[in-house]
Amino acid sequence: MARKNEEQDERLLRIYERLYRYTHEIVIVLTEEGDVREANERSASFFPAEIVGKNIESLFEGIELSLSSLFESEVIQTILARTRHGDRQKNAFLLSFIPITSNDDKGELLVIGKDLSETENYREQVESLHARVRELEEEKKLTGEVKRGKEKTLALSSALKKLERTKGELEKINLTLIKELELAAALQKSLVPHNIPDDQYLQFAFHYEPMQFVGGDYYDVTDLGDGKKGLIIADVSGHGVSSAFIAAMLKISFLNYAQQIQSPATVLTKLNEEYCQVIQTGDFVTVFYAVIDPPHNKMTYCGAGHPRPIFLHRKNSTIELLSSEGFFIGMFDQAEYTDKVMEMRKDDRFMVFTDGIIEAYSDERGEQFGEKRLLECFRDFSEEPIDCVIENTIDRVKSFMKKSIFYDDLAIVAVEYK
Amino acid sequence: MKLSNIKKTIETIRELPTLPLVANKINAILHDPKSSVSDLSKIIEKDQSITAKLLKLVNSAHYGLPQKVNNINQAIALLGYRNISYIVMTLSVFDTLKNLESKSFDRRKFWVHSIAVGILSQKLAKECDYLLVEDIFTSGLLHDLGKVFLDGFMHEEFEAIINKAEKDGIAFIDAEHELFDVDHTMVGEWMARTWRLPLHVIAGIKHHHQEVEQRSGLSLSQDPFIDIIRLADICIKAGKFGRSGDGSKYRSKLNKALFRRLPITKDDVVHIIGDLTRDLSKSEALLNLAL
Repeated sequence: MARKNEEQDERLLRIYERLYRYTHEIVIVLTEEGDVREANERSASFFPAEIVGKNIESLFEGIELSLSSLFESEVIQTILARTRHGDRQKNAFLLSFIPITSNDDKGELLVIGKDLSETENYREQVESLHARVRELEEEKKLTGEVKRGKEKTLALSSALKKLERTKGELEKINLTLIKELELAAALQKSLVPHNIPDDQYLQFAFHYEPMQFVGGDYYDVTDLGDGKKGLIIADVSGHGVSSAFIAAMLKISFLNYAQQIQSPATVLTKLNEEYCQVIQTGDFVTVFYAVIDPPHNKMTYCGAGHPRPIFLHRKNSTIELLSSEGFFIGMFDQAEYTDKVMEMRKDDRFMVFTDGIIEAYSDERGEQFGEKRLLECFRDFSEEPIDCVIENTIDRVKSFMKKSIFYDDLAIVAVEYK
Repeated sequence: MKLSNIKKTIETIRELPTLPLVANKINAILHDPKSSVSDLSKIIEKDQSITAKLLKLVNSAHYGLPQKVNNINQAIALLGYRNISYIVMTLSVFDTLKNLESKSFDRRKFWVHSIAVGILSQKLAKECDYLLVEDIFTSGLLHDLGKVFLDGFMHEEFEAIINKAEKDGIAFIDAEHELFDVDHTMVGEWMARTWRLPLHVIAGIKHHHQEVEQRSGLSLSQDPFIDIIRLADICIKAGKFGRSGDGSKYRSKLNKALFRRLPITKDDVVHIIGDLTRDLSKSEALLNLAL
């Protein structure tokens, strides 16, 4: 039995010796106080100086356990620690503290330390790789953002360029439009007579003021022979080139029919038939046409939806609003027109105008000039020459409007049997 | 009643009620190439009553805007220059028509019919990929303008038409044609022209009872939007949304000819009209402004 025990002890000793001498780990035996009793050769490669007799805590940092407690519990403790080397490279060890109790109650601690520096290296490498990956990811993100940013900037600048181009084109179009409108306005102005017609019996006066680029007002005086004169005033609804165009057509048609047809109503019927076909814009024309025949002291007239002209009978100083019952021109092709005949004696006068005068608006008063004020003007200036009547009337209209924005043309024609 | 008679009636009226000045000013600036958005908003803002109504309307469910509109500039930015001009014109027309007396005609039912035609026209237009959906709404809404005039100014004649349509179980327009030689489309066209309403509104009023072959006189006479309004008008009558003056026994027919020039089928229309009650309920604010 004893022999067997001896053999067993020898075997254990051999195993310990093998482990002590040839293992890759450091093997240290500590006294109960923690002083190194012996250390294997491997230990020398980590500690340049002799370590026998030194306390374990002076060799490693990070050992925070009470060594004596290890004996009591007989538990193997494993801790991570680093060699203390001053400023030299520090090696990390996984230290296993194995308490060994001897028969003499003096305990020893077997410490097996596994060098972790290689693992640590790997860990560091992995960590640095991780860090690098994170860096790269960050970089990638940033590049993406920069790229996107660049793309956005590019898109924005191209949109801006497009906008500039469009703006340029719009300005060009606007200029062309304005030019065309100016042409149309010039065309329209050329429709109305510029010189006061010289007539044996009649005195004329005109005023025309287009407030926008182009309006649709038109008036004309035409000689019908035998001392007769035809006076037309017309207002094409709407504004712009189409109105000027319709007014231009109206002039041609009117001058044509007026020479062929005596009756104003028939002229208007013809004009209406023609313009119901021609005007496709929803616009219409109001017209007042009078044939004045001074040698016979009469005037034949017909109106089509036009504001009623004002007539002054000098004989008894009465003022009359002439009727203008016909339907406006350009909508109902069956519309009927009827002539009215009245006396026109020497010194009688009348005034025709377009709705721009009565509809002149005062922002301040919040109302229109109206027929009543116009009648007052006509009455107040009845003793003045007709060109003064027009001038004064226009002055009144303008002072009524003050600085109000004005939206329609102003056209007035006055005639007197001189 | 001959045309000369109606002319006489018009003369006794002397002057058609005029639209509020704001409508004329808008009309003028729409044609002025120098005008800008700020001109439009200035003109509208000067008329406080119209401004209040406009803001009320654009904030109503009818327009279903995602945010509250507090001022005219914002309304123009969200709904567009053209659209806002039409809204102001419509409100002006409403205001003027409100003053016309109505004796036996149910205005509420009439405007329900008109608004329904406006909404359905707009929806059909979208289905047909017709672009000017705002134009078509205004045009559909005001297509029966002439009836309000007849009711207000020629009440005896109007009553005779209504009674005849009811007694004979015929359409309002057929009763008009049996009794007189002038109908509500002509009167409406006259009003619309005098008030210088936009061309598409005039065209809708003038042609909404005519086949394409009969339509002439305007540059839009042959435009398919009139077919859309015609179709919408008949669908709304068939669906009995509001009343337009037809005899109660009269049934309008959805015949094939109505679809001739439109890229939609009867099934599409049935599908679209399904939501109309809900859409109409959103237009309560518009209806109240008309009454």
